[in-house]
Amino acid sequence: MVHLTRVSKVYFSGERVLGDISLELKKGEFLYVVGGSGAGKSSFLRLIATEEVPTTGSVSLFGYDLAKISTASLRSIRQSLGYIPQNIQLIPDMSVMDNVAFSMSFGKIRASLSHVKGQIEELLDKLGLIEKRFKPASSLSGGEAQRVAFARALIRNPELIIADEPTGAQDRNYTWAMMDMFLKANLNGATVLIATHDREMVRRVRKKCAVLKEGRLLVEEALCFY
Amino acid sequence: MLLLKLAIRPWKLSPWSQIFSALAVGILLLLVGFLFWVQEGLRPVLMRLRYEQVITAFIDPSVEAQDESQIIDSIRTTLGSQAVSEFNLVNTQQSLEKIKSRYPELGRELEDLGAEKSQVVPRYVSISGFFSDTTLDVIRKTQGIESADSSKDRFKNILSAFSALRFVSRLLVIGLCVALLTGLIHLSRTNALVHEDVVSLLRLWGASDPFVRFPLLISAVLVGIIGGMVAAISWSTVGVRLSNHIRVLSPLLNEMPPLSGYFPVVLVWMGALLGMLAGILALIFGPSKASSRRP
Repeated sequence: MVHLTRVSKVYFSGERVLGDISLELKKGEFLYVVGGSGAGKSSFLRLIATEEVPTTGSVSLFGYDLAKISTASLRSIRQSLGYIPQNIQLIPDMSVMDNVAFSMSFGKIRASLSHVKGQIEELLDKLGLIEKRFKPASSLSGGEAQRVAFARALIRNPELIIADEPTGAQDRNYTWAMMDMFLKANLNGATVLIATHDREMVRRVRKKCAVLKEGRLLVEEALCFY
Repeated sequence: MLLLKLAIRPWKLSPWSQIFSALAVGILLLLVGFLFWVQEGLRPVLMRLRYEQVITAFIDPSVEAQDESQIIDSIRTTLGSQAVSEFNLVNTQQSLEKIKSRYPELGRELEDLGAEKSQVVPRYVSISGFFSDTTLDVIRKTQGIESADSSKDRFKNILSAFSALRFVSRLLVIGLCVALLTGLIHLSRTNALVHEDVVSLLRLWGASDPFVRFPLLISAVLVGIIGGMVAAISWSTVGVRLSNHIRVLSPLLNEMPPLSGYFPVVLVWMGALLGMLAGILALIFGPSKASSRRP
């Protein structure tokens, strides 16, 4: 599903954030990427989310090397991803509903807005956003915006979920609600990759862990006791 | 629906830029319409100047009065089905009366010539109407005609001036259309940059190139239509007054047709078409960032 071979990332400033990273993630796996601030978690996820390209090495998704595939295949891969970036990136002047519907319209399973309206509303209700569904995204608090980004990623029924600190701005109730949905998606066959530094979450929902430290990745096969 | 919401984002994010662009498009379209009217309206004026003429064919003094009718028949045959508005034979006596009315002294002197006056006072056939270029030459060659001339040459300078004006109007129409197109393309590209963040996001979600670029087309068409509406309203108010004012400046300009009632609709359509063309060109030559493979 996800295959990284000796990947490194050096930014224009010369800063080396990732060095010689290799990772194999099979379909249906659940992996936490943990590490301190500046460890390179976000850069690592951006590479997998096809948002950035590695300086050296190769990234393969669904068996395709991202450096070699056609634009059409890249588009198809992106349609199978559910990416929750750390900087959220909502469309500020559009409503919560439109933000989620927009994402869904590019997903693998497409349907008209009238058909999926109920599905979106159900998800927004679970995330405590139903009252705000017609409000512009710019009016939301940080935590609410993060939950919209979460809904936007999960509504597409993605095959690979990439989440960068998805619960960073949430209280415990929403954290567990979101984790519950991650687990359900995982049970339904989705591969989940979550970058977090929420130790409690990692301890309570025990899954495989990869630790990023100074640009190096250490994958632990055993349950994560980070 | 979502595409439309995306397309109207520039109106939310930078409304003044869109409003002023639409106003500029409207003013330029009004100018295009007005110059087009000048260009087309001058056509009947030029036609009149070019083809309407008064041919004066002088009858040879040796021709007997009873033979004049044969000459007239010959000229009528030459004219065929051409548009003759007036055909007059002016005999010696009538010609003399005309001279007398304008130059009485000369008229009296000619009258004193007695029978010889028919050798001095011209007899001629005056023909008015729209004739082909060869008509004058054919009349000149008619038996019994001494000479013939046309009024056409008198309008040569005016004809050249109006032809030049028409040519300049045509050039300006083309130039303004190119300027409009360039402006709308530029606006589309700027609009793409206004929501570059969303374009990147859409690409990351797997949106296709046409989808990402389609709002460029819509935004250009939208500004084109609104500009067209501004032009249409201005045309119906200012344009009509201005054209009426021009038409009464001279009897010749009165030949220019009045403004058509359907022309404002044409202006709106023209705005939409120019917007669509600009949008398509912006799609093809879109901003490099919006067309890149990576977000």
